[in-house]
Amino acid sequence: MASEWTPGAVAALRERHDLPFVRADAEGRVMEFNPRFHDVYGWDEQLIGQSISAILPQEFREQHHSGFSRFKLTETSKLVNHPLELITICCDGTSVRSEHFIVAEKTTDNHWSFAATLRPLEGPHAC
Amino acid sequence: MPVDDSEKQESVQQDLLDQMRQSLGLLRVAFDSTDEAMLILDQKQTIRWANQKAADLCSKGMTALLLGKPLSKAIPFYSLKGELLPADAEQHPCQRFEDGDGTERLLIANNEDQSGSTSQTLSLLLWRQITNLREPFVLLIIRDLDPIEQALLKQRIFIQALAHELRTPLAILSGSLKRLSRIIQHDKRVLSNLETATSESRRVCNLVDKLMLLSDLDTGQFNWEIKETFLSEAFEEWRTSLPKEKAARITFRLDPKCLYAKIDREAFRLVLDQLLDNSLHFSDQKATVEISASLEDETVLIFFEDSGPGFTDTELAALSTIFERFKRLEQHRSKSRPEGSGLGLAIVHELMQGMGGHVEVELRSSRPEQMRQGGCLVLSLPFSGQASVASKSPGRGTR
Repeated sequence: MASEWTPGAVAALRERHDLPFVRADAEGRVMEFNPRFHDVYGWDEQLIGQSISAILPQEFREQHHSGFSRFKLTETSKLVNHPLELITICCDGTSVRSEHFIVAEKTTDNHWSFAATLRPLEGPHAC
Repeated sequence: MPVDDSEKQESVQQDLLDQMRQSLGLLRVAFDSTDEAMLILDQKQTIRWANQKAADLCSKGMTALLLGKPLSKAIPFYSLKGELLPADAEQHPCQRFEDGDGTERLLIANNEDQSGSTSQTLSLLLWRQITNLREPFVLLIIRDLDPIEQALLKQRIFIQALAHELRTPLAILSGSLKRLSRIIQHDKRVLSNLETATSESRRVCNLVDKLMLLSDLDTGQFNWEIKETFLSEAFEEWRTSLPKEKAARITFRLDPKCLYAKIDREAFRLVLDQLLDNSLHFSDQKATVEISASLEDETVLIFFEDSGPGFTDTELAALSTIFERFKRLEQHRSKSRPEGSGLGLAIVHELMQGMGGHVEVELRSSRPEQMRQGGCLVLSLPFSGQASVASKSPGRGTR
């Protein structure tokens, strides 16, 4: 159901400068994030190339890996394009309840790209 | 060359990773296609993994919303009577996992439908321990009962409710009949009728009590508390609970080797009560009973022998049905005594199964010549050793 993915969805999220933004490639590796993401969650350039599961709690990782692998086979997911309240792990190991809005997009060279804005719901950056 | 080797190794690792991802994805597709809800819980009973059906059942289709939640908060479980089970209730799955693998029938609330209302579904829960990983997990499977089983369970719940409803008016009726017989002392004909009515109401009360017990067993409402028990103590406790005239009819012959068995004391007492009532009923209160116990292949065998009419070998086909409900042997019918409820041996059968044992009739032909009078029922229970008992604390009952 690739037709469900909106072209330009990742770019649209990237434009939301007021919210933390992070993008992963088809392998689930972090490819980019914006300064707001660094400000709120403390992650720096060392996150680039790491698995996106690094920002998820331990108890989410099994499901994340299996869900990611399933997506590669089926190209369907119920998690995208919905605001989801999840826990985000900060660079210092603390956690922040955040509203994730995940999108997926197929690039012109037929590779998937995943991006999300994360709205912190608690702590000094809550919005 | 070292650079080539390194590249080659990296390529092999990438291939392996891709292969594993594909396998993981395929497994996930398969698990998401099943009609059973599957959840994997960690030691703290928080949800670590869930399939699509589990998410459809309790988190509006979003598996991610289930993760990290305690099971007790993610899924409300209800008893078959429709009462919400608190997380610390003995019947709640969270309290059962530590006992090992198991099953339970419970009601589960479905997600709100479009009208905003929730419904409850009769469900079969199965849990299995996963122990050979870095940390232990529990796999919980929730399956809708098939329509036939649902109908059967609903029927049993109905009987349970009906039996409860009948109990109060029957108690009032019995009390009123007793009071009437005290008031009317002069009219023998009326007194005789009152005696018949009292006897019949007692019989119906007894029947309702047995139906309630059976429906409790059928619907998982019986509070099992199975633990290693010193058998002699359990027998003695039962004997002292009996009226003197009944207790005087029993003798014990226990093999000292079979000291302990895993039983529920209340269930064990009920089994012996039913067997003794049967023996006395069919012998017009004249039978004597000998209870002996021996150990055979890690099984405790309890022989309940009486001097009553017993079972003849010519009725093998009928004998195979005596543990069914409302079955009575033709040879045991008599005009001189009221008919039994036909539920006593069915209760014995269910209670023994609940304790992990069973009951069977020992045929006369298989008994020694001098013991071919009367009847003999054999109760089998799992032997639980002797020495381990002192250091072990009682476990929770399982079914």
